Amino acid sequence: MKTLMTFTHSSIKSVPKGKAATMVKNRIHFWMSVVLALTFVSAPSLVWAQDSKKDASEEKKEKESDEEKVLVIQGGDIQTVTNGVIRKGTIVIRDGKIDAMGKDVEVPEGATIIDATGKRLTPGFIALNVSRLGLSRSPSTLSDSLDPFDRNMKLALGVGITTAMVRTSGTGGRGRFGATVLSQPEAGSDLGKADNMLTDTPDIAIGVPSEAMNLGFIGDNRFVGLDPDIPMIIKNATQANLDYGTFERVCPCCGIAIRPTEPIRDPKPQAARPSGSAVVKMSYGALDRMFVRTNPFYSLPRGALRGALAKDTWRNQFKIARDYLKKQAEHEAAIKAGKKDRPPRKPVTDDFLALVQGKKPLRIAAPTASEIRDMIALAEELDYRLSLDGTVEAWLVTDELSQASVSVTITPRASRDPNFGEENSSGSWVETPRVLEESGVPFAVTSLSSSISLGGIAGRDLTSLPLEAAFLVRGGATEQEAVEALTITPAKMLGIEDRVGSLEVGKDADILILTGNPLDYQTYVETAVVNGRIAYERTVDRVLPLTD
Amino acid sequence: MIPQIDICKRAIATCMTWAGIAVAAAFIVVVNQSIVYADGLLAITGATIETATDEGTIEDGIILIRDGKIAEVGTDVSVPGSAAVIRADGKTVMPGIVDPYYVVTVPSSSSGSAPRVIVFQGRSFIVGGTPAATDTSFVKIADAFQPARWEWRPAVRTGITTAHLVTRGYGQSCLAGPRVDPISVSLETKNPRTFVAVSNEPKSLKVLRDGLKKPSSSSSSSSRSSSSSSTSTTWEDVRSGKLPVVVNANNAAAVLYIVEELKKKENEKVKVALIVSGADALLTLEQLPADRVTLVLAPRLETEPSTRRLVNVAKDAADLGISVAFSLSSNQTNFRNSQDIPLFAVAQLVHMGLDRQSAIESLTRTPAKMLGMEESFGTIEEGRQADVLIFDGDPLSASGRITQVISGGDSVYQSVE
Repeated sequence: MKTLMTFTHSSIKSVPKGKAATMVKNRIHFWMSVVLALTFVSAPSLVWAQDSKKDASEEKKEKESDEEKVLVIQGGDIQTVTNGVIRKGTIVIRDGKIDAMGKDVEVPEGATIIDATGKRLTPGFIALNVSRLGLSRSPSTLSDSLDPFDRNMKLALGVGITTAMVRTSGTGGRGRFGATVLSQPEAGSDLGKADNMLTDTPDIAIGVPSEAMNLGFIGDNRFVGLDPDIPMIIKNATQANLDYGTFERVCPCCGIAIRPTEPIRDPKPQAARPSGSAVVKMSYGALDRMFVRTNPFYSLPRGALRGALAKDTWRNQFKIARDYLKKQAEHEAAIKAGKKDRPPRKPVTDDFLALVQGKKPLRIAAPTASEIRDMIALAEELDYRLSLDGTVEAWLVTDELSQASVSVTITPRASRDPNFGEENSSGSWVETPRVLEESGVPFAVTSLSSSISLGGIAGRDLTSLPLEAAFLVRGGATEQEAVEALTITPAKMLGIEDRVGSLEVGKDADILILTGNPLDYQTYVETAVVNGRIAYERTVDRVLPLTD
Repeated sequence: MIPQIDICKRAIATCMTWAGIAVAAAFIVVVNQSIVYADGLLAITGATIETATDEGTIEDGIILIRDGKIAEVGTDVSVPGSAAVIRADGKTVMPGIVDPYYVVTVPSSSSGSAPRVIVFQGRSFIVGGTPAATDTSFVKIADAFQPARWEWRPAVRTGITTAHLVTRGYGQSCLAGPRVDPISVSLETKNPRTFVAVSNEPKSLKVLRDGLKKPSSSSSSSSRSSSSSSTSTTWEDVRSGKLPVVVNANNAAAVLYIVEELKKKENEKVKVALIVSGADALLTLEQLPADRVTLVLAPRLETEPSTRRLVNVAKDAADLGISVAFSLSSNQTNFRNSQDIPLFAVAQLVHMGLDRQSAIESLTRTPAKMLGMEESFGTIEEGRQADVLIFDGDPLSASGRITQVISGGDSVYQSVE
């Protein structure tokens, strides 16, 4: 808990500030001074040496007992998100959880007190759709691959993100999902290999021009003239695409594209492959309780369930899974009755079974109204829970969304041109947040880019997440709804609302001490507490400019 | 124990020395020379002795060496007439340096043949070929190491009298030291220590966890390779706390994973020698269990990653009660070039606040203790192996040059003045 502060103090002790400056400015002078000074260094007496050792061990003991101490944040306005605001309240944190909270809470003796007078306290923000944060490489065993010293975590904490759903496998950034529909040739059999699920095999689209992939030409089985998105595609397509049609397939031996003008064999039904993700806390410097859960959704790339073939395969998978569950139930009944019975072979992954059993929702990107309707219809037909990502045209289908109780993720600043001739009934609309709120569709907010880049495109990457939420208010949502879109709504989507997303007694102590309104561009995170431990301090970490 | 002395050989050696001096005078180079002392009796007199024990420094002391061991140390030691005497008035004597992590390259057991990639039905397959030795393949240094091909002279003139030889990856280490007649390297292979490189990924963590796990009596032995029996005994030493496991932590996150392992109830006896970069050590220092971890650091000022401020990690560790061992060989440039003043980097740390006594212990006694060899070497006291270094001045100063290295009672290196 005290780690960061103590580090800095000790380092100040070992190198005086003025000295450090001299070193940088005038190296030669410094070395000369070292040489000179060394000649005057005399051997300290043995007694002194032993004494200092004793002091060190005593100090250490004190520190250990420090860690068991209670943390108290006092005097701030507590924005609980679920239970209104407590003015000048006190939060007592014990063992990483909120132990007590309110106006007249007794401060335990010996507690470390953080004075937050005049500050605003909110729960830590939750970021969905994050790539590369707190995890090293593309891991197979997530809990062994955490990197609590990822420097980007400090930047995430600097804007208030304390929990992130990090992609661990699957395709790249959002909106690039069109090409990855294909996968195993046999629907039922190969999906049983659970260990395949988290490995990202790049064997799909060899030799396909990249612009063709981005346009959604591959694997979509689109036909010019029938697709509502065609005006947009035509706008971006090359003349060659329009003249000759799309690259349908790639020759497996030579990698040359086969044009659809040739009579080709029907593609075999292929099951869509989900992408993996992990929910991690931004508990910088601490491994303990950093990992929250794996695969909160059954996540499929955009377009994975489009077209008759893909849908048929999807229905088939459900049938296989339900048959298995039935057999499994029979098997368990037989075992209970004392009969000898062989358990049925599991034909699908545990992840898929969880989807079928309603334990986790399907999450899929569906920007257009037609895609949203399509996905809702399929979910109702096969009876599974649904959460939609990047729903730019959600304002057109609010009734359907609220009736099917589907949660969505939106990016207020994401834009989509309306279709030609459908200017009033397609494309993005600034008031999407308002209509979603009015119709009671729960929505979370994500930023335009899923990573922390700081590469010069300010305001697009993950560090603009609270500002993106401010744009929800610009689009007509209430401030309360906008803060919920950062906290409790994504927590519910991830199924971790019992731990994070609001300030309540018993929940994880993921608390932000803010200089003002969380939706104000002038607001900075002063201190971020994750799992009851100070993980970020603005003045110490200095990852964002200190101007005031 | 004592090899026969050939007078002629010695005469030749002496001639060689003079020739060497002539060469040195002309080209300013330093020559190596080995001397075996008669009767195995040697006295070093008049020196300031850094004992690296709790006795600290002895001024104007005498060290009497008999049969390669230190027989007596003190201010009033009677020197037998037959003893060879090194007059070390005004000089400083300290124990030979023990390098706790000396990385050597060993030829990999299989270099591997290149596999072919076949694309079939749009999917790629890897066919044929044998994989080259990976990070988790087991290396036994004592078997794979070729002493004749080891360039150990930089180690000797740095004052390293015992080197703990390891390689990258996973395996069993051994100890090496310079010996005379013929001048060569001796390996001590009896008690191999287990070393393993760990990163925050499942594969290397599995090596560590499997090693720490008590083998189940039934199944494990049959499936393992031929080295299984010796592997399991060294891991047994680790589990019982007899010897530490030498863990090279790839990053700061890996350190925390190792600490998690140490926290487990069944691993409560396990001790770890932690090889870690200074920056990673700094990030994790306060989370290390001080009584069970020995930090192995390169002696240098580190830059704190977030603030770019220079910090003295060895001092910070010492303040927390964590023992630190310095590996002089870890900074290769310094190691090869810092002829004569090998401890300058350590001196800098002392100047920056590191306790002088603990700096000297970090070079000698602490690494010896870490290797479980504190009864054999690492200090200047009665009964220890006679590994001593003679400096013409304070070893922890820019002017204190190393003039002679004595290993096992024999002079293995002498600089020309």
